[in-house]
Amino acid sequence: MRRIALIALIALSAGCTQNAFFELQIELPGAPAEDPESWYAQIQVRDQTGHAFDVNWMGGDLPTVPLTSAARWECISVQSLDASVSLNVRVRFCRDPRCLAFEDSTAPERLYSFETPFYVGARTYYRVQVPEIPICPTGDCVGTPGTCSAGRCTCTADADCGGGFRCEPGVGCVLEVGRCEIEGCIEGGISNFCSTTTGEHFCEKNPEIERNDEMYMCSVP
Amino acid sequence: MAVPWRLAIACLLLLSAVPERASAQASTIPCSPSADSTEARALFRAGVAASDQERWSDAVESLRRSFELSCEAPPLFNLGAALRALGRHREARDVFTQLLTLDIPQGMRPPAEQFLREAAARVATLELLGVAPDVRPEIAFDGRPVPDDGRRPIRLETDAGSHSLVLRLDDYQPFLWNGELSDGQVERVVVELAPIPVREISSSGGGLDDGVVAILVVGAILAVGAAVAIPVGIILQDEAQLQPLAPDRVITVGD
Repeated sequence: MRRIALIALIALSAGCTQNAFFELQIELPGAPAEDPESWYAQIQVRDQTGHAFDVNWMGGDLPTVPLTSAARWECISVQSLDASVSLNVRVRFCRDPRCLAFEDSTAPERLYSFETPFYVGARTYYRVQVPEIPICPTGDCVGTPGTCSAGRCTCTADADCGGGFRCEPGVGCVLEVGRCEIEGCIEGGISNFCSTTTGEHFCEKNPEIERNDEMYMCSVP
Repeated sequence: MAVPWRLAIACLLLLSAVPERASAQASTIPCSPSADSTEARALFRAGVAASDQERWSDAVESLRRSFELSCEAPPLFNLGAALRALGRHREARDVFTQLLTLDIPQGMRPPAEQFLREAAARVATLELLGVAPDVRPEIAFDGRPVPDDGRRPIRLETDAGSHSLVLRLDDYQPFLWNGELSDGQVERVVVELAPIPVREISSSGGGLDDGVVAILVVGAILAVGAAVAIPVGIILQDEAQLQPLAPDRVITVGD
């Protein structure tokens, strides 16, 4: 009897939404005009568990995106069935379309960490702009966090990175995006997506409320 | 208050001369022209006289009634001007909008359009965020009930000043907001409805626990329905899932 009820419950729950999408929008910079060689952006997204920034992540990535003369938005739909997952994201700038050139092992990169961006049955969003490839040919990291070392913008302490960032020594500055900065489940132009009274994210309270897609930077199919 | 009184007097003359005609279809203020326009003309004169003495509330009453009895543009124009003078910009906007749908004298159109623009820019808006489309709370704004047509976010238009809002929903504590709105301000308020705490009642005595009975009943129903639910559930499984906005750039994590 109990087994039959369990099977039925499982079957009934199959009609419920069990997944969650985090719509990540990244504005990639234009390729430097003075640089005759091509640049490619590789966006890697991983569960924070087991994917620290101090190692290279191998396999399972989307194709790279060639940088053009102008900045452009790149949108990725990140899916999870587990609302407890936090993400690490790295945007690498490679010379090879598959990021396999010798110099790509130390490709300049921007690093992001997202605190629990998934809510089952809800769609969440985040937009971030990378104004320029984080290289420092003139010895200064202008417009990108970090200090210059061997032509790359890196850091040794949080003070090298500025507000909102933490330093992964020897790796780079990581932009930390807190759960209340993850957009979703409320309309209108606000910046805090958590209840001021309970601290809950609005997607915990109202996962069925969709933000309108006017703020989505890519075309919707 | 720069009401064009020469225009008003011209309108008065016009009103006395115009014949009856059918009500405007899209009128915000309903009107029905009477066969005898004497009362409408008298009310219009009274309204203009009240406006002249800046007795705006009296003017509003007379001019509104004059329009209701005549369906003519002149009382509507002056009604809009009187509402504007009272700071009732939302109503003034609606009146000028309605006026511009009518067949109005050429000289009246430019000032009516200008007043419409000015009034529209001064309407204040309270936007209520965080109310799900399928949730229909009872809304009272400044003590008056507001119908909820299901559009989200809920937008309440009003005039500058102090306002109060109460949202009520069964099983939730009322949500209250009080505040000051200025001309043209759009105030966004996140509605947070807190559930009313439910006191648990423990069963006493030696009978079968209500919870156990409920589980048994639900279990029996599930057993009967399982054969149907399983295939249906499999079909619904895919359809119920969220779809990506970037279907060609999907990454799955955490599995």
